[in-house]
Amino acid sequence: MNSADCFSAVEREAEIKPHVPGEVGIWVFILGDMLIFGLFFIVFVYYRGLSVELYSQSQATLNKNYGAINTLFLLASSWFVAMAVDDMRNKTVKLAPVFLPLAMLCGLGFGVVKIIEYREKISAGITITSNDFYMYYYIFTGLHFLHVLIGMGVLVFLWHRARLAVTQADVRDGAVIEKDMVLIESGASYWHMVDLLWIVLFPLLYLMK
Amino acid sequence: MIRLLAKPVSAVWLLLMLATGLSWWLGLDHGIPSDQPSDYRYISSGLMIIAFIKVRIVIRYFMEVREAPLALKLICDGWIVLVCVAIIYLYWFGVAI
Repeated sequence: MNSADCFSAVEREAEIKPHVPGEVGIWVFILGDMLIFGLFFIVFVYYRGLSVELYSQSQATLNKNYGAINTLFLLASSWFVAMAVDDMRNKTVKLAPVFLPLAMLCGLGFGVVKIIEYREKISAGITITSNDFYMYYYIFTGLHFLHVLIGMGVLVFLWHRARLAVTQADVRDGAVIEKDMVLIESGASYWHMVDLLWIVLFPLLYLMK
Repeated sequence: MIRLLAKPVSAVWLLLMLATGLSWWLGLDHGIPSDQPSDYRYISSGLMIIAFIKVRIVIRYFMEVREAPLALKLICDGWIVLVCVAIIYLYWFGVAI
């Protein structure tokens, strides 16, 4: 059997055996969160329809560039995390200890832009009580920011496991234990969800006229 | 590094970055007079469809749901379709409800 056959055999096995990425419990949490944010999105569009003029005028004061830059930050961060997971699954554990801090750096970039944006709004006298649009803007982006902060903690944990795996690799010939992989996939899935929610929030709050 | 960029996840990531740039550009004012709001409506609907395509790509490739059991795939796709359709429907006809 040549290497190409080996590869296709592995691929076939992966196709036959479906695999939940991470703990089932984390998926209950992720889907619950997506359900809640889904309802948020729908409520927002409904109330927008009742006073389009107010929402459009308020939206015009938001900085689209900040929204777009933050989308890029989270996408880049997600790529680093996906690459780190792939690296650990392949039991090489060379990239993960570098890529996870880079993912955190992107998360930090998101936070810095968000704080600059909030500061600009607040110093212009725009707060959560200004009108309905800004109420939703602060609540949705604030809750999402809370998810980012929790996610940063998750990334620190993943980084810790990755570094641990490197030291274990010497002892166990590169074997990252199965239990660790489930934890790593769970954390990564959570971080990708944070990215996913922002992907919808960006056009919904900043772009949809 | 080139080996990394050749992975499907990387190709998909590049596509997501480009789609974000496209959305940002579509969201700019293109000199459409404000007395033609229906033109904005098509752009806005397009922006939401792009966003939910991006969401599906993130779920499938980053969250690795493409390798998950059918039930999880269906739940995720169900969420995407329901929320996207509800947003676009309410955006166009919301007040009429």
